[in-house]
Amino acid sequence: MGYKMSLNVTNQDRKNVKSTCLVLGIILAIFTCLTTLFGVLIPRAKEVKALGEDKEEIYSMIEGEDGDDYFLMTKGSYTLYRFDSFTDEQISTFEMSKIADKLKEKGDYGKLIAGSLTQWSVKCIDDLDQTYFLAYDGGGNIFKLLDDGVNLTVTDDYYLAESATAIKGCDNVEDDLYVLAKDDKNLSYVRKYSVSDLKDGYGNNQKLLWNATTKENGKELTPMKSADMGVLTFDATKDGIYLFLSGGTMLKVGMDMVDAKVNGVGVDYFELADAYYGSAEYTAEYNKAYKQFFLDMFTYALSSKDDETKAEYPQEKIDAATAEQIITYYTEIGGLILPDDKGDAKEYAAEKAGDAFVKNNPWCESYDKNTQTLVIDESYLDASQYSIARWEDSINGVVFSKKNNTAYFANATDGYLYSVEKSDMDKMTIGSFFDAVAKKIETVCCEEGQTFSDFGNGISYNKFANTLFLKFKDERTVSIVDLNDKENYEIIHTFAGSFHMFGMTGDKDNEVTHVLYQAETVALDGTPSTHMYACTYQPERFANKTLTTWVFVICLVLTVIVLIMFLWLFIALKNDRSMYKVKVIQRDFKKNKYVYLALTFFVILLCMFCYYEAIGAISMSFFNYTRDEPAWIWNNFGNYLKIFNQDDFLLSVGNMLFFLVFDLILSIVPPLVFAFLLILIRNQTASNWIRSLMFIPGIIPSMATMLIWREGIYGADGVFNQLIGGETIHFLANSDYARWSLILMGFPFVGGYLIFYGGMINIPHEYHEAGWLEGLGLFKRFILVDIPLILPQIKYIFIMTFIGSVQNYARTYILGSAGTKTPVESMYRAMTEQADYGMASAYATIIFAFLFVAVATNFKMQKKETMGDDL
Amino acid sequence: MDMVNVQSQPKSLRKHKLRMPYEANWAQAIIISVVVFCLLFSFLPLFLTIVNAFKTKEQVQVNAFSLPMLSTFAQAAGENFSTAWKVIGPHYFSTIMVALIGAIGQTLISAVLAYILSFKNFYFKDAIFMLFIAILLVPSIIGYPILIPLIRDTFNLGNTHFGFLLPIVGGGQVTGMFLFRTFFSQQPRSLYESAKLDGANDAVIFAKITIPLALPIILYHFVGCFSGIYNEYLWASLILDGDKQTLTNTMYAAVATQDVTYGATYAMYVISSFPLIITVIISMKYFKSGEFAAGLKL
Repeated sequence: MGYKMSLNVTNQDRKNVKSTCLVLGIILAIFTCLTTLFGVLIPRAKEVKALGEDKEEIYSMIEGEDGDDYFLMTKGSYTLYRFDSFTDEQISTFEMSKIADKLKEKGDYGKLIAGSLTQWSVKCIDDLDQTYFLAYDGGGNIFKLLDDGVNLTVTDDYYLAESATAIKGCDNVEDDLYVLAKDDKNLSYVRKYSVSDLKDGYGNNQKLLWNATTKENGKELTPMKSADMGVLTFDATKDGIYLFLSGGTMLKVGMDMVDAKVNGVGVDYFELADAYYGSAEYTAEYNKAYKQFFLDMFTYALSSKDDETKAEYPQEKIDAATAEQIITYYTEIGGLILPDDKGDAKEYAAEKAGDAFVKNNPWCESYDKNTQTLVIDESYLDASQYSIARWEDSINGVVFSKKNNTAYFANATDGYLYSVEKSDMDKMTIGSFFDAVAKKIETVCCEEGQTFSDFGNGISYNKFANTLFLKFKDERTVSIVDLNDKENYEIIHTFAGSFHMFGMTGDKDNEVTHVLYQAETVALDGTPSTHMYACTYQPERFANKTLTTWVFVICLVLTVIVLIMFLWLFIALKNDRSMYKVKVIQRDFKKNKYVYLALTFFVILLCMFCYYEAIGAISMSFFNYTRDEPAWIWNNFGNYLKIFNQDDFLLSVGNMLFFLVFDLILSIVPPLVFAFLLILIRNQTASNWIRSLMFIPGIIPSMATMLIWREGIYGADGVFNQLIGGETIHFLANSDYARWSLILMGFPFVGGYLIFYGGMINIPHEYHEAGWLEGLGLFKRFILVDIPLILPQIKYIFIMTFIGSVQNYARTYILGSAGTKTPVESMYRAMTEQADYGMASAYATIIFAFLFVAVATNFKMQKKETMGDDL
Repeated sequence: MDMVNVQSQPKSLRKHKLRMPYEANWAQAIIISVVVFCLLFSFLPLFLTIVNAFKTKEQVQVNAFSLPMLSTFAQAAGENFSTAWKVIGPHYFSTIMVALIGAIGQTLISAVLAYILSFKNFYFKDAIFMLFIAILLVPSIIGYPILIPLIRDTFNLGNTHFGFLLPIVGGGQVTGMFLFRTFFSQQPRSLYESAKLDGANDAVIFAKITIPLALPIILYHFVGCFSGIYNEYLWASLILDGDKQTLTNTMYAAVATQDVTYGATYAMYVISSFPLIITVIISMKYFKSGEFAAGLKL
């Protein structure tokens, strides 16, 4: 340290320091208080933990009757836990097995068959007289649970739907109960029961009022194929039933129509709309025409084939084949050139099928081949009773609010919320579009480039507060939209949390929001599994979470800085040497203020683009963080567990070491020998020429060089295969050759000779002459004189190659394929293909740890040299 | 100055040296043939590139080593180069500009930093120097998972050349600084002292003394930075896309997806080599003696 100044410590200095110390002390106290305050103010989600003794998996979240409480259902024992909305304390539990007990008590063993009494769902029903819960199982049973505010009890009257169907939802309008069920053929049904009729019984008093699947003449119809139309929500109102389907379609069945069906009237209309939506007949008709088209083409193509081929496709086989099978056969005999022609042929077939369908069905007016939709003769329609409307954009979710008589759509295409009033929905006819009547809510949209979450449901409705929860995809944020003022929808809160939301409920004042979320955990053997958790947020406080956190961090940093300064000055007061230092630094800052100012710029760049990345990546390796879900979620070393438990982890480490060893050898030995040979050349002109020429291969960009090796040298048409002749060897795709081929790349490996050459020409010639006189041969001279003298250069190349080799992802990524995976390549893939930055960070940290240990050991082994001298 | 003197040293020594056995003609012949053999093999990729860029697909398939045939030369070259240019043409000049700007920025920042850390005298010099040097222990690849969200989301510079260059320039100062500092500190102090006495300020000293004296090493670093950015694959593939993509990535994508095959790929490599010719000429001029390379040691 060449920095010296002659200074004396005076009493005045001590006084100055003392007063500075005092000021710093006060500032420190203030900052400590602020840090503590903001630390406390950072909102934290309250986790709901107490869930059974063996921590059963949460399965679903159910809103309570008035927002004061909510329920969590667990898997396995199917227990309902009731929690207080505000304190998150457990109020009571209800085991669904009590229903089974009740059945046993009654001797009703018929209900205890396999498949039923599991996969429970519960829904709170608001009736005018009483509030009760309906519990329905996967086997088609519905039971009524009475609620006294604290406990649930199985009532004597319980309802039963039909067996062999899974109940997906139910809703009631006064005394009528509507049930959405799905059968084992994955077909959805809506059925209507009268609650008062359905009492106490296994078919005793129950009377099916209306079944959307049954045609009056007894022929079974399937109006909804759920493969085509996943039902997002299902709402029954006094005017009719509204089904909102994924893909942004609404299906309305007017109540008059329902009643008409009950009374056996209006069959045609119903049939018509069924058909529109892919009824059995429609599907069959369509498939028939579709199949016929391909059948014709297949028969035609087959006629030109030889007898052997024809024998493979006997008439029985063709008759029994489905349309898809026919296409396969057609492809097999080479009648269809894939992939382009298949698309066209299919389109053509669809058109043909559509035309045939129009011809056979009088209620069809025309078929639009572009949209592949049927235009239906208006005279067959009654819009007030039956309507199907669609949305051209893609929809992330829809909710229907009975309170507002409005449906809200989260439009994934433009990221806006849309509202459609029920009165407008009723006016819509078959084939009309929501876009025409939907009102874009300008005030509610995602941030630019974002969209609604497609995980679970992008939108949820809080019926107590009449608000919407909107979930966004890229940021884990929730916006709460107030629906009470129809003229002016307003986002009242936006808050962010570390969750992967599954469901939400809230209270009537928006004070708390309960979130059911999914998080991944990784077992010790590396197998990841997802679990559901529930927690409670206070939106009002969470809205300012980022700000509060930042203020906290800044306060914390400032506190630490002030603390260090304070302690230092405090020590200086007692110690003259420190006092002296204080004075020196004071002077230094004054004198070199521009130097420090300039350095601040460089240090900021360094911290921003080097230290922040290094520290950040190491921290991030302990969290789940992906491009689509950029939130830091602690995962209990899950990234590392996953890496270490990979089947090919050891192989990839082995590959890394394999390449490392060969890279080190090949980057040192051949260039050393080459440099030595160059030194030995007597003719300086020749040597000059050779060295100049050695630069020329460097004009090819490194990527081009790699690609030349990949395609031109190792490729199927490459140099090696041309030289060897015979059967093509896939050097890079064959695990026997791949690693060695990668090593051989860059032959004759002398590119890095220059540094050694530079070191060798500086060796005085006298050494060599002396050596020769002592009887050292050329080889001994190389080993005993030249190598020791250029050891610093060799060390440099060693370290650089070491670092470079471990980080060389490009070689294996671009050239390798068979068994050449290395950790750094996995990291690159995690970063690009999987966009899993947490995982990539974990790889990076492992590589860093390896390199750090290796390089630090190396440095330690070397003599401590001064790092440049101070001028 | 050291580095100028050293170059003439071997010549002056040769005058009175003994004649060694390896200086016999037959021994020299062997040595030169081995060296030339290595040289020829080093030229293999370049040879393949130049020869095959002017051949038709069939000719490349049959024998990659054959020379282009005169009869098909013009037609094959025309086809190959027009196909190649269609793919990489739109990215060509933008990539050169980006690499040029990045290299200038990187070199300039490193030089200024090295100047401060070499000639300025201040209390925390060692500490700050250590702060810069310590980052050399951290492999550059580690930072990307953090860097991507920082550039793309925080700075909102995703898929821009500025966002691409920012971390390269901002984070690439350390290597250059380390290199320059070693060379700056070898410069004669007397020059600086007399300049100071004549009233020159830091900016003048930096521009008129430091830079001219260290021009070869600055050029070396500049050339290295240029080809480094020009050849950059990883970072470009992470942050750039579509029209903004660099030449290297465009080339890789074209070859990987088989959009460009045989002769045209080689034509693509020929076109992409042009900017590096100048860097090679500079390196040749200054570095073939091996003097600078010898300074790279631990």
